[in-house]
Amino acid sequence: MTATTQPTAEPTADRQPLLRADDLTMTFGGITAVKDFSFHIEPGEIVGLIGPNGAGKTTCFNMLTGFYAPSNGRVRFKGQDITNRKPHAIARLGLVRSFQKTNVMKRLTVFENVLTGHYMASRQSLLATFFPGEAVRRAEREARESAAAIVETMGLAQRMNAPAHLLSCGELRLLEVAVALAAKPSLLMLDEPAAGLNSHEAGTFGAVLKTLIGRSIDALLIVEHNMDLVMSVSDRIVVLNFGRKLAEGRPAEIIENRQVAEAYLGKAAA
Amino acid sequence: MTLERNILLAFLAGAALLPFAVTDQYILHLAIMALFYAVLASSLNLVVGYVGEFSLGHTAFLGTGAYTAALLSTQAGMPMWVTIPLAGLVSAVFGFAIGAITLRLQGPYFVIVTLSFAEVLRIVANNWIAVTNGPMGLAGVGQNLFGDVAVTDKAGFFLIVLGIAAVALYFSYRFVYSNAGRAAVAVRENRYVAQSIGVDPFGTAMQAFVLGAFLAGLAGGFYAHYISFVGPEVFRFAFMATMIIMVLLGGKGTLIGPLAGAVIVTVLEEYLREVQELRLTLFGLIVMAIVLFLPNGLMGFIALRREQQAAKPTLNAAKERTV
Repeated sequence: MTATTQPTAEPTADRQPLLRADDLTMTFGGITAVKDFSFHIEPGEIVGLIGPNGAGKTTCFNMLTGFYAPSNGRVRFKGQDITNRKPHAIARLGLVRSFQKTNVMKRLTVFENVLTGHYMASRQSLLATFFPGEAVRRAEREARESAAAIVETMGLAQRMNAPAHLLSCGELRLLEVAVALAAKPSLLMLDEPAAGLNSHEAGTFGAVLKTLIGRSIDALLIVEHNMDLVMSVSDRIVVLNFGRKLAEGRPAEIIENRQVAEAYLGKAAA
Repeated sequence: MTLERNILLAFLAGAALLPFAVTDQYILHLAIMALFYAVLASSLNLVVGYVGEFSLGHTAFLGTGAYTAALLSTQAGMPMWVTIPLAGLVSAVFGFAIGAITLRLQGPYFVIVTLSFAEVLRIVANNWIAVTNGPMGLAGVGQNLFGDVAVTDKAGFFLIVLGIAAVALYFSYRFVYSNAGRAAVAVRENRYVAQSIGVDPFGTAMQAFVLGAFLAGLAGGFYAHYISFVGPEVFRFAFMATMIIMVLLGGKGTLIGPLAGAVIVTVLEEYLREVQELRLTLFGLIVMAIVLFLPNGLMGFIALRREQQAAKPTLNAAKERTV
């Protein structure tokens, strides 16, 4: 598979990146989880963020989405400084994430989960909540139709009315992506979405992800340990190791990179 | 959702016929108390069942509403159609102030701090003698509905509390099945997911909390006029315990649950009068049994049975096909 978008190494002056992080640093007490990490995401791109366990990938996710306040550095999204904003405020700008440890609303059905995901599109005044008019009913209908369509896109149509706690591990990952998509993000950030999928499921999942760009979302940032998946979908890959950026480039360049191989596998015997 | 709505409508319609069918004052009194508790339990359920935080301070709003109505009636001579809605509004303002502090906390911290707010209000009511008349309470709360038109019999009070219950159920129904209600459930089920889809947990919880305070205030206002007396005991934990039993027994997180719980507990309390002091012990045992065996209350139990019933026919159908 060839990438459809040409990866750009640096943001150009005239065109603003969708997301831009500068010198992100996160310390927990004496431990520095992420240090001076800078990167950007252009519209239309799928960026893979990889690195060995404990490299700081999830910490990075939490800083970008407001769940952690970075110790240092700035995050800009769509030209706005979003550093230190609350998670829900960042989500409302169109930056929506999934979680590494599967996070869905277990007691609700698949459909209800995805319908709840439409929260931002269906927000209404308190008055309209108690005395709904035609506009509210239409928004509700549209949300329900859209929820059903998203469940279908993610291949969960058969499980539409099953409570989430009855889903298999793989189905839960798909549901999580479905809930995130329901929030109609501009930039979708997935934290290990393929964990628990077998290689066939992961292949299908990768194909679904690629169809989303331009249709449902503007750009995608994906943290993933499944190398086949991340190499096949990503336009550009950023490698983190011990909280610092180790390498950045096209998948083919990263595969060739000696330092990356060493970070994952250790130094070759001399 | 439609089923729940139809059951609620049928309940209200059936209840509206009661005063015409029953003239026994004692039974009407029980029915009035059952509906009064139904409003209280429904309002508590908005916080416990939909936001998922356990408030032990809900009597703060009941008492605020009761004192508001009693003061407006005894001091300014206002009729019920003014005092009861104002009682709800004043309670809602208190709800906003208390919520602004307590809703920043979760779990056991929230429980303790809400409890202490109710306790503080009780102490204020007990000691601010110039306004509340202290432990003596406010007696002789008027019973006029409009101007000089007084409510003289139990049937009249029954229709008033039925109207309040209808308002409470309407507001709860609209809230629960709206986008805002789904957001509250999202916060209850998973705070992280809620935030990642743009839900502000604090703001959402606040809406449910203030709505619950408003409805509890209406109930308190009604209580003041019906009993015609308000003392500091409206803030006491006994009301809170009764509300909790009703919500837990009926099933939290459903609209019918608190209603069913209120009716059952009110009737049970009367039946168990014979055993006197043993009554509270029995209620304690009932609560323990519910928590252990029916954690989702009666409604949760019924929903489970329905699911099992629904699953059976498909199994049978599958068997028939193989034969």
